Amino acid sequence: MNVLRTAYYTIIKSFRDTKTLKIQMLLPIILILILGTALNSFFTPTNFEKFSVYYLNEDEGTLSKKFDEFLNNEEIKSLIEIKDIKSYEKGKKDVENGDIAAFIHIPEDFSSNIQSGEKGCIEVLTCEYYLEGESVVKNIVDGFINGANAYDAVYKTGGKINNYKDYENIDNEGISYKGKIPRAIDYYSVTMLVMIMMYGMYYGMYSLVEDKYTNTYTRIKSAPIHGYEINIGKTIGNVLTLFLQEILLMIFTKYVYNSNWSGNLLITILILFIFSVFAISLGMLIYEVFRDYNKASNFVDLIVPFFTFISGGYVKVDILGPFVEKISKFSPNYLAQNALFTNIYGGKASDIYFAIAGLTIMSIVFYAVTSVLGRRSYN
Amino acid sequence: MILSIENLVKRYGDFLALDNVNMKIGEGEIVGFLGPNGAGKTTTINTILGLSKIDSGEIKVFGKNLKESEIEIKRDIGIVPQEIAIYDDLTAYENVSYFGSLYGIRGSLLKERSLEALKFTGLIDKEKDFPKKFSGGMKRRLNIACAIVHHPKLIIMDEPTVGIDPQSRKHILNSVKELNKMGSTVIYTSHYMEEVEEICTDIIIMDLGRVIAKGTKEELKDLVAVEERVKIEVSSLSFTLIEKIKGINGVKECSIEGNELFIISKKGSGNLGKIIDAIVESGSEVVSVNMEKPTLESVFLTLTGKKLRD
Repeated sequence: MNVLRTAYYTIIKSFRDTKTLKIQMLLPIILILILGTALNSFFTPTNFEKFSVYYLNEDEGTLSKKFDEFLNNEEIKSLIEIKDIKSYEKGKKDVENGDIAAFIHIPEDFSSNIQSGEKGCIEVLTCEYYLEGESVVKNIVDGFINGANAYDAVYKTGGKINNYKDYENIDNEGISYKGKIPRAIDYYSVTMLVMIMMYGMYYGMYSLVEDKYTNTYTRIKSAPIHGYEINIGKTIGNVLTLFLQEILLMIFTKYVYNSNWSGNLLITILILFIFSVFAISLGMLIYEVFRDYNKASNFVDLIVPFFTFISGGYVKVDILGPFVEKISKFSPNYLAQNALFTNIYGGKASDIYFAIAGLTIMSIVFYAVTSVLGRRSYN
Repeated sequence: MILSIENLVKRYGDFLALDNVNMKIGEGEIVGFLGPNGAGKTTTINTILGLSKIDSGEIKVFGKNLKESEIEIKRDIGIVPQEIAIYDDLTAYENVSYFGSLYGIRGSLLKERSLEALKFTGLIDKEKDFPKKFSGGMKRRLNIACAIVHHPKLIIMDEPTVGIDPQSRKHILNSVKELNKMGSTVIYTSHYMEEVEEICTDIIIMDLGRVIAKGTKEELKDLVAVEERVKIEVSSLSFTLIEKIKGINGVKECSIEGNELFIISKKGSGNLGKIIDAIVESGSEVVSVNMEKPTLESVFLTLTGKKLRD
């Protein structure tokens, strides 16, 4: 009960602290608007760049031949450059290394499986670095599969199949980039939100010094309660404060800036919640390491812009070069941003799981270390 | 016995903060806890509250060992810290209610007690206001409200009237007396001797980590009084009267200033009646008599060599 009441009053106090609230809420709203407007041209592809895509067809069947024809369609050629390769390993390796946007592989039993009523798969390996390329290739394959399903239905009802007329498929799947490729306002709605969540570390830090600053330390320590009840209550309160702020920001950017927050809403909420837990835990840990609020604040003021920068929060990583791209993976912002972008624009679900698991594990470690350091300094 | 401390020793590194402190405080007392800065008052209070670990000795509160029953004991202690200990972003009511809840009070009882504490401290009409808008005196009163919401048996007040206006001070002193009447034992530290003189029944004086004197106000005054001083205003004076008074048993000195006689006698000589008889016999009239007794300030000065506010 003490935990819940402490959490409740922590939230109340945080939302009444208008100075901090302005920074947490107004700053990102202004930054998103400025960056989203000023840098929009960097995000809107006026001349659509063609992507190189590896293609390996090991199937001898008729259906994969149709896919060959499909890829040779002039409309498809205007979007991607197909490069035939002989080795599956090479294709996979080059995608993993980021040397190629995507690799389409048709296994040898593709046609026979489909014709015998079993499941046939076209394997598409994409490099997340090429966000637009990934999206285009997936749309093309989806377009073909829609056609194949139609073929299958016609075939099974005794109809006759004609050659593909692909324009409709492509158009229907919306190669148009709106919604699939973030506009500047979409992009910065995510990155600035993640950045401001990192500034939420201040809540975690302050929770450890609040009672000394307000002189309530003696009163709290004299009460017939255990110290951990207050600490847990404050932590829960701070996590919920930060989480609520981000939900409000998300709603604001969605409805006022028309930012793209599509994708699975529950997953978006889960990512925001886990990242709130993470930011608070990191803030607490940083305070316990420095044991000085001013020094800890200076450190936070240093690392938040740094992490935001290397994760592409201000400018997209692909503009910053390969070195920044590599180190961006070590930024917690990257984990959250990548998970949010993957959820919104489509991508490997494993990226989302990885981010959630990674942030959760780090949070647990941070809380544990904070607890040990806190106890040691108290003793 | 509400509080019993035996042979309490507390060290901070090489510094001996409490040196074999012993004290007993009975139920229903208002104990003035005095000492110059650094005497060990706050350290003693912190050990009673379980905030500082002790090196040796024993503390019993409400007859229970503090070490063994800390949580249980804390339920019946209220602390008014020297610094104002409230949250500026919570209203007066929310502050009192939150701290009350930490003592296990819930629901309608918590609301009732919170309002009662605010009423008691004269803040009931400010219950929805934020402390940042309060005067120093109002904040001090809220500081007290947060400490008494759970009806503690023992209230420890650490300089509760620092830096406030006379009206708030009067209100607080009356509150302390009222709380005492309602059954609470109070330990009261202050740098204002007149406050201690006004409200305390017993006094403990500490210096250099030791209890150097304890007792009632009168006992302490008697402790340092070695002579009695009396000032008598008379209608007329004569040389023979002065000589006659000097001849009375126990009188050490007699001097005059205008129509006033200043007489210093040995402590406990009981010669005031004889002095007045001598004045009347000389044909003069007694206009007024003032007995000058030692003040607590002079007691403190004598015992510690320092003024209380030093």
